[in-house]
Amino acid sequence: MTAQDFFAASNVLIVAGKGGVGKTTVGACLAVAAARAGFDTLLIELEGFSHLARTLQVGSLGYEPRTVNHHGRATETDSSGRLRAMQLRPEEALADYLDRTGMGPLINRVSRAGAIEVVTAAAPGIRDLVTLGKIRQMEQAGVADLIVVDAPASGHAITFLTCAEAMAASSNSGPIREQADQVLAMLGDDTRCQVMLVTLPEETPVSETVETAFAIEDRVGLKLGPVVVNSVWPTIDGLERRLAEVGDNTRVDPALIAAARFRLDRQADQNTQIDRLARELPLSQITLPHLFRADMDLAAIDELADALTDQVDIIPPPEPTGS
Amino acid sequence: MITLHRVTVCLGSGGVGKTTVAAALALAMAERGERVVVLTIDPARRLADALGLQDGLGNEPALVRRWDDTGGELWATMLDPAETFRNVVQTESTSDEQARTIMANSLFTNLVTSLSGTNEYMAAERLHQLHSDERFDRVVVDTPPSRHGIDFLESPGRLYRFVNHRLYRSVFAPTTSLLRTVSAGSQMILRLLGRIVGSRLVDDVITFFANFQGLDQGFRRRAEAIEEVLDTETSFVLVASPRAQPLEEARWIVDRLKPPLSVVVMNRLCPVDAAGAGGGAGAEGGEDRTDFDTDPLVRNLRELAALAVQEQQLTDEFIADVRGNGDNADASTIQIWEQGTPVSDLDDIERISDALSAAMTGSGGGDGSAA
Repeated sequence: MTAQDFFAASNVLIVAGKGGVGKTTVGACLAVAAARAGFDTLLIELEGFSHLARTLQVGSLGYEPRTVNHHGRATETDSSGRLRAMQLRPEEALADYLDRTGMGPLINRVSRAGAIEVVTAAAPGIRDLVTLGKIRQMEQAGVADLIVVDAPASGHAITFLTCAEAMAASSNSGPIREQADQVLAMLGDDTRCQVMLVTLPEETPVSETVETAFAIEDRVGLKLGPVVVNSVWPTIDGLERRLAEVGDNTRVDPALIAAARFRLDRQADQNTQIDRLARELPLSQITLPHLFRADMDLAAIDELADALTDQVDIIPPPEPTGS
Repeated sequence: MITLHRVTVCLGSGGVGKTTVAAALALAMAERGERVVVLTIDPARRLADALGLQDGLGNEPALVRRWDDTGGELWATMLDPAETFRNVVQTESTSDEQARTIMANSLFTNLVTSLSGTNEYMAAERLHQLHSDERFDRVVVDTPPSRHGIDFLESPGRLYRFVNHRLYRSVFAPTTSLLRTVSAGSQMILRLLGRIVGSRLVDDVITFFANFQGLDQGFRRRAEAIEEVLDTETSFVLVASPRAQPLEEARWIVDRLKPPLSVVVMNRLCPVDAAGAGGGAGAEGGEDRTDFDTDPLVRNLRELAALAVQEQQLTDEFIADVRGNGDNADASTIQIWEQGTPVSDLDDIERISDALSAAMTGSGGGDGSAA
């Protein structure tokens, strides 16, 4: 399918994965690719650790979206292809929500007594719920063509995505219950929201991705988009043949041989893990190359966005669901 | 030479190999003749297999290997937070009835599975239990990945503070057990809260807290005992990998960690010599530059070496920053190079443990144990 079809398929893309797999990088790369395909794109960071601001070279991120100067045609005036980024924290989302529902003064009294703290400690889903509630509100208000969400790391991602269901079960009335119902409606509709899992071609991330995928589909009924396999080492043509040729030739620098063995071993293990992922998780895969860089900047994100766009092209169109 | 306390806690962000390093550290100690238990949080399948840990093993430590000549023993156990939590509640409850009521409450499941910091608290609980277990001379602890293990250090008082919250205290007067005694002021606050989150949830929360009556002092004693171990008998090891984002997270840990760091392990370094990376990689017949430059062997080494150069620079900057941070001036650094094949058995862990061991004992081959 074309990048246009891919990014038009739903309003919200939630990017989830285990810590250390490059979830933030992939989120940024999806957002840049969407903006380049002409979508007015909003990238939302939920955790303070996700280094999005540094990667995007925008200083800092807060509740107000900031425009990112990616290599597309972004301008302040033309919203087509614009890329903006923001940070969304539960405290702000909750305050914002209560303000909008006219409950601000009420909440002040309640929170002075420490009551919010007690309830959110016993029912921590409230924090996640108001965050998803804010995302839903922005989606409904059409603040962007596409919202890309950098979700919490995976153990938490499942709790994050099941929070609405849990809160709908434990809260019988009031604005929190309404939020839960509205969020559930968004999560259950694949034309509005999809989840993309990010993984590395390594044992633990692949196992965790498979577990997370089944947990999300079973417990949230969410539609999963393609899984992104990040940091796949590109093959060097002829490396294996050359290694065999030089064999035990003692005139060859041992560093060359050791480096070749390391790379070939690494790639063999990556291939094993990629095959296992394909076997255990019946989703399309998008693979992004390892860039041999210890630091990610906007140029690196751009390079990955190219790779992502090429990969999206070869994903088969979704089967009609009959809905 | 590095001296470590009886308890060693490994901190680090996700994906840096924290669990593997914890296991290797424990192996290095056991090889020196000590009886060591490693508490892992969520080991990779192959690492779990290498340590002889299977699903459903529960909280009971398993013997991995014994060295008959030195008396060294390596034990491993996997954290089961829910089981640990149930044990704590069982132990501290005044009756079986109370324990059953607490665990039957729907919010208890919430608390066990999603209260931020519960896993950390349970890891701290297990640390304390293993520390007082006479079978072990030393305990090595891997920490849960959320907030990179720092929560772990703040966790012991958490449950106590949770059940001893001021609202809870104001809702329940000290001598009573039922809702009748809820003060008028608190009643109003709770009613307002009910308008936001729903009255049923508020009722559940009140019942839940009421169930915990009488447990708070037990929770406080436990927290104090754990804090004592962390303050006086624990060494901290930071595990990092040489890429910008994990190092940013590692700096975050260093900034927040109050006790000094004993060791920084820079793990998963690209295994080529950055210095030998230039044009003179020395393949056969190097006089033909065109052939030389297009040789896949040369191209590969250059790509890896370019990465190694960046990694070394980030590592050097990071180590300088860590040592510049007051208390950590004496932190030792251990660098571990990655292998093409992942850790899959005790021999692989041994390779890492040899590197750790060499650094711990110093070149003089002394004994790194502490009094």
